[in-house]
Amino acid sequence: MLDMDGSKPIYVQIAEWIETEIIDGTLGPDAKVYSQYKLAELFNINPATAGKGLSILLENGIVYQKRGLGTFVSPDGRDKLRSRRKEVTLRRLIQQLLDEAELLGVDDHHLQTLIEAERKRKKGDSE
Amino acid sequence: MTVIHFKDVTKSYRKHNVLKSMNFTIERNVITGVIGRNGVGKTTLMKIIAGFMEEMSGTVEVFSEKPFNNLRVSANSIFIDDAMAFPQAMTLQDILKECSRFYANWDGELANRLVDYFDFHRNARHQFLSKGKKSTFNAIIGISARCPLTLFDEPTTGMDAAVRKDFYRALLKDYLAHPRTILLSSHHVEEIEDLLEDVLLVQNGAIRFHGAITELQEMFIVLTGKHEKLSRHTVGKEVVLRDTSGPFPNWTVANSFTEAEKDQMVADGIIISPVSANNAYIALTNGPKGGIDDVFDRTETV
Amino acid sequence: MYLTEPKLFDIVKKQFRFKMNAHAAAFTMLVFLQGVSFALELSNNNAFNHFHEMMPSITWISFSSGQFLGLTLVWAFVLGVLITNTARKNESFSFVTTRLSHHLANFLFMVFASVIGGITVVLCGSMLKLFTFFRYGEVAVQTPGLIAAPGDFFIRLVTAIALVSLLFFIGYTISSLFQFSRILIVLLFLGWMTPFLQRFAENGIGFLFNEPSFMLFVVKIVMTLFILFGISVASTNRLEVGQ
Repeated sequence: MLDMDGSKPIYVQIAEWIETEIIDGTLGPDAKVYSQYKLAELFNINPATAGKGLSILLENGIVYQKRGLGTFVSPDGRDKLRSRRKEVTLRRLIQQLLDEAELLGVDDHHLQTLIEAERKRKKGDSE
Repeated sequence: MTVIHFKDVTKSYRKHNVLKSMNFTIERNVITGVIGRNGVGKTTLMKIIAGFMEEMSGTVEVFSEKPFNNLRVSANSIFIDDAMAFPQAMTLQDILKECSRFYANWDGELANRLVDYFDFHRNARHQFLSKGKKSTFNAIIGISARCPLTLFDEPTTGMDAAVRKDFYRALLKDYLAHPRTILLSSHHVEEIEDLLEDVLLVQNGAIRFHGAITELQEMFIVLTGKHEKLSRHTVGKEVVLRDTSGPFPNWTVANSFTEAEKDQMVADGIIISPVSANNAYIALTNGPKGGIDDVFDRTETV
Repeated sequence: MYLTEPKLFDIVKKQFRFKMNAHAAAFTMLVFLQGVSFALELSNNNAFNHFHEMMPSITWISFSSGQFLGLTLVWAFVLGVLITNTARKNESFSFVTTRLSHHLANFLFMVFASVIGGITVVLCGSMLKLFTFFRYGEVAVQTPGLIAAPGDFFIRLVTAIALVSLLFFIGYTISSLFQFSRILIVLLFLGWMTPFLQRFAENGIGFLFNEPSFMLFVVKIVMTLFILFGISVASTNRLEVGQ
């Protein structure tokens, strides 16, 4: 489930795993998030490390804590994640795309037609 | 609450200084990995904590008391290694029974389930077990005793890979249910790194690093890319390991890069990845010696 | 996890039980030794027929429980050496203990084993008498037994226990000193050759055994045991485990 070879620290991977659960709707607004102990058991890691994953989400306001009750998904957690992924992840992917295009000598117009073609193909697949 | 406190602790055998001025503090309910190369003093350190050995100078406090010849420390701690001795006359069943009388928190049911799971015959004699089986049995005692301070010194000696994995999982599960202070020594860091909260890195009889394992990992980053690009971007940086065994050289570098520098490297086609705790440990203990490849590099140029 | 507050007495009790389990074979060994010496004693033909012209024939049987005592003393000495060697000490440390509780548990074990040893020596003597009685029919038993003279029986019992425990503690002390310093044992052995130490030992033995008062004899033995035990504890109290 996790990439144990360590291309990313394990607690970052845990944070990302929970983020994905929130984005795909598995964890709705105000839903209870796994405790650090549950995460520790699930991923076979030290609870302190799992706690670090949760605290990344806490810092970003994706989740909130109720004392003694646990950690819950912020009402706007999903929106925050979406907009952040738009800003950060999508931008990074576009950067990579542009770098690759430059390397291969593909100009902007050509790139756009490629994107359109891909979109059409995908639509065709899903219909 | 502090469980273990070492201040300027030294220990030597005959003329060999095993521990030279050890200073550290371990807090309650933390799993700490005692790591270091063979013969750096990990065992001596743990035996002093258990009260088996006595420090020569400095102050050692376990549960706020000097552990040597201390009944309170003995009753609240357990030291597990592959040299644990049990009387020849006693069967495994007898040994478990003794444990139940000596250890206040002993979970006999858990011990029995583990003994069954790992296919022990209760009437077997401890000294006739194979090396791996002995380690496994001792580890069962270590987990089931639920001592507030549990010391495992190279507990997986001789265990096969599947049993080692089971042991670490069992230890983690029991720790989650019953948190306690655990010290776990190993020179196979890659096996225990996920289990640990803290690392106590012993080198040359002193503490080289003590802190969260994530902190250890973040001390270094790995850069993968073409040699000349790596050289250009690491001017003035401390390159601790140059691994040339892959298709692209990958260098382990002390993590002193700014975000802007990192962005530049990425833009230049260098892949940045974090190091595993094991590689961070190797990087830290190797020092500026480079790697094994450097040994051969020199020979070739001569 | 809460901390337990152990009591020394409680741990000594547990260590004592542990040692009883661990050294159970020692008692089997004792029974075996007594059995062997019993058989030997019986097979020895100690019966002499005295004939006199004018008198009826008398069968004179002599036997002694010295053999039982001798073997038990050897058993006690060897066991005393064995129960405190490094391996046995490490076994204690696999559980809860300090050096002191380990020694105290051994102390209790040796006292217990001495009582068992002493009783079996005396009982073996009595059994031998009984056996002879059935074998030869009517005999006039010369040594007084429990019923004939309970006081004498009691004195023999206490003396046997005292001797067995003395050998136990001598073995124990030698073994402890050996752990403390091997050179010391060699020096003591060499010292044994010197007239001074020989005289010292002779005087010591004389002091203990040429005591006409039974009560004083017991007091002297008990004191000696405590001194030996004190030497054992003091000499090993700073030794390290598992080295």
